[in-house]
Amino acid sequence: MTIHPTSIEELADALHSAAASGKQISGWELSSLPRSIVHHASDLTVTLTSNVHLAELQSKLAPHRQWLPIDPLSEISPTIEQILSSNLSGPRRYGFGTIREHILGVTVMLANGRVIHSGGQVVKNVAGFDLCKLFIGSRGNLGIILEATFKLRPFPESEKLFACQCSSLSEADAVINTLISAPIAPVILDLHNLSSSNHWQIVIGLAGATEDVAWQAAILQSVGEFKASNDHYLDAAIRQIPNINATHSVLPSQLCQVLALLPKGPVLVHAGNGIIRNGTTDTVPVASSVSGLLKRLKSEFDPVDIFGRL
Amino acid sequence: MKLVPTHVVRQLEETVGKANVIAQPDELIVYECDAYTLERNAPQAVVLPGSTDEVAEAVRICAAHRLPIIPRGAGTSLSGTVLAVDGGIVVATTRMNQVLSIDPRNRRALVEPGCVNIWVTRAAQHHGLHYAPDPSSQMACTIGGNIATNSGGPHTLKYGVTTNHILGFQMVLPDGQIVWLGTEPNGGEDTPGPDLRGAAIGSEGMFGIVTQALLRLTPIPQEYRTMLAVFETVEDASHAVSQIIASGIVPAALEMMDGLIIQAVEERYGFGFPLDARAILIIELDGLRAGLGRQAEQATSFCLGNNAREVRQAQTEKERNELWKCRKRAFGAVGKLSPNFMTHDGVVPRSKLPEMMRFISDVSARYGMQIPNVFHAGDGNLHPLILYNERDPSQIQRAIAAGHEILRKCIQLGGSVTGEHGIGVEKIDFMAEQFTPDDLDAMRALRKVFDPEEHCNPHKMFPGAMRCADFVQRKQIPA
Ligand SMILES: Cc1cc2nc3c(=O)[nH]c(=O)nc-3n(C[C@H](O)[C@H](O)[C@H](O)COP(=O)(O)OP(=O)(O)OC[C@H]3O[C@@H](n4cnc5c(N)ncnc54)[C@H](O)[C@@H]3O)c2cc1C
Repeated sequence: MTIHPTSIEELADALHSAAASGKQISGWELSSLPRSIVHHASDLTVTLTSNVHLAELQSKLAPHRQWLPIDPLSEISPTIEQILSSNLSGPRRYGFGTIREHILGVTVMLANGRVIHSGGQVVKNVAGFDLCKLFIGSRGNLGIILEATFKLRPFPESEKLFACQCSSLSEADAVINTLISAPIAPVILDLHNLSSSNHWQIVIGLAGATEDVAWQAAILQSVGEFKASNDHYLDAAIRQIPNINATHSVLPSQLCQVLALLPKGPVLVHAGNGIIRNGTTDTVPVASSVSGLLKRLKSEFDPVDIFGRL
Repeated sequence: MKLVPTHVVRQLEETVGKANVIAQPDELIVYECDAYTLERNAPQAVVLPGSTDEVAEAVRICAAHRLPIIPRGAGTSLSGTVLAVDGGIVVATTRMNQVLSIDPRNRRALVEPGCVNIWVTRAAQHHGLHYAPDPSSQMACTIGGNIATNSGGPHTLKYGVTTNHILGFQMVLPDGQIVWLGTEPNGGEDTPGPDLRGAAIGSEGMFGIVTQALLRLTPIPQEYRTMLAVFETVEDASHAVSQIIASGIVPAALEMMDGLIIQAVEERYGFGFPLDARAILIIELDGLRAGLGRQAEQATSFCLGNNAREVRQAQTEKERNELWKCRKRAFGAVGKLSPNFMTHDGVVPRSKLPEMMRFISDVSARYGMQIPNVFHAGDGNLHPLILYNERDPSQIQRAIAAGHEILRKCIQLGGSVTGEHGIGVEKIDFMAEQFTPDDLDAMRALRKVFDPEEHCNPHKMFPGAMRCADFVQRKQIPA
């Protein structure tokens, strides 16, 4: 059953009747719920409803030269709810981390229809347990995220991308290792092969004060043949890689070994983080000890199982 | 004081060795409180395990006898969160204190829970890396304690708090089961499913005992610009803080000390602070050399624009270190001002700092109590220190009441009663003010996931908890 509530009360009613009738809710569409974005520019925070699309948020923040430093890959800008519940990320996670690093508070409707809050609107807060994290990556199986508060970052004064062509994976590996130990602080460190040839491209993104970007760009020249570039490779990746948000996550230093074993095909890698996007995903089973915790989590938060399995 | 049955002591001794169980009442006094000293009660015994398996076995013994388990690191908590409210067994990580490995290529450190915070940076720095969260107590506090309290510190303004630097950890659950939450030592950083690691960070020792932790290391900045801005009023300094934050500069640290603190610190450490200053800001910028000069000029002009009398820059690494030493030991210097003090750590939105500082000085006047302030201004995280003399019961009452007014104001301004020190036993009463009954129920549900029997660090966090029978005031431990 998919629900399309137009008010919070209606949403709660839908959960109650699902629980009463023993039906599962397979999906929801929150676009008709009230929307709001409350930007506290001088505090560098924002509180917004989860049905807001990221692009809409960023364009509201842009005149203040602020942004939520998250850049998930998808054709249509995802909503805040999608970003949180699927833990979506993109290339700039190398510089800024994933959404868990930016969240300050959440409002969630639990399976019993009650609305709960965790965290708050200030940048430091250790009152109570950190339930915010619980809902990140939970794919909507513990509750429905209604609102969130994030800390924001000022726009970098300048951002420049550079790319370097490598004729083999081992060459790319060597360049990446050199970059990691160089005195630079990139915000993007990607590697891709979208032509299925043997050519690999390393993309590096530098951001910050204009002087910092220029100084680092000069260092890049001593590492490899880096040329000024742009982020069009991301559009190509979205077009060529089906299911772009399916990822493998490996120890960054083992990346090239793992890549060598993957079947040929378009691939985009966040090399600094060890994240591989080639349309497939790891099928590592959850450790049995953790599966006990997950089972208890489910029975505490959704005992009649209206949201489906974790 | 409750005694522990001798057969339980024997079982614990068989597990960790006779030398590593403390059950003599006089030796247990050391463990009767943490750095929050208003409430005290000794545990029934203390065990000092040497490995994860020993922790698990000790925990199983406690569980079998329904004895409360209280994890303990260095005991520097400021909220009474290691207090054995109703007795129980303290499991202290003192012997599990090694840095197990540093992986510079992947910027990770694997450490034991009793490893002292600063040791991680010491082990990593020759690789050009450091562990960013730097609580002022970093010379003593442990990584296990940091994870359990989600500690902050002066440099969290730019680098984030503990949760932003913990990739994963091993934990012994209160039933003795061993789990690994989050990123595994040689695993990829993303793990499937809800972020259980994140949910357990900051759980104040109520979810289990951390027995190993995988930390994220951060490159040491190429250069620092550390500045000292001197103001005639706290209000001017607060305005400068708000403007710097709003301007888009992200300082590594932005700390304030008010007049009383400046005098105490100066008397104790002789740094050369102007004794007549009413407020000082320590502004630290870090990063690449190229852009720092211009940012430093900008920050300076915000200070001067808010009537700063002067803005000095630390000229040498030694001078910078001295300055930070003074800041980090400021609590210690307060002993000069008063036999006792109460430390709060409420948070307000940064733009509300000027209003909040006015409020604190108003409370100070109304209650006739001195309240010096030394705090993480850039985060809006206050540390008003309420000075009192324990020999005068009316002062104790006034200090408590003044503190409560300040915390209530933090909530009212959209903030929180604690930014880093935790709820513990100290701030239990505020949970129901900051959260709704449903919020609290959800937190209780999460606790049950980890500890269905609720015997790990009980009587903390939730309203209605049992209080110490022995709610007495004694001499303040010098921090
Ligand atoms: C002078 C001074 C300055 C301070 N400055 C700061 C500061 O700048 N920022 C800040 O955040 N805090 C600060 N603190 C507070 C304190 O240092 C921190 O809360 C610190 O993280 C506590 O670490 P600890 O090892 O002393 O833990 P303890 O005090 O021993 O324990 C604290 C909590 O952690 C739990 N715990 C300990 N070890 C484990 C483990 N292995 N597994 C599970 N739970 C565990 C305990 O049960 C307890 O709930 C300061 C304290 C003092 C005295």
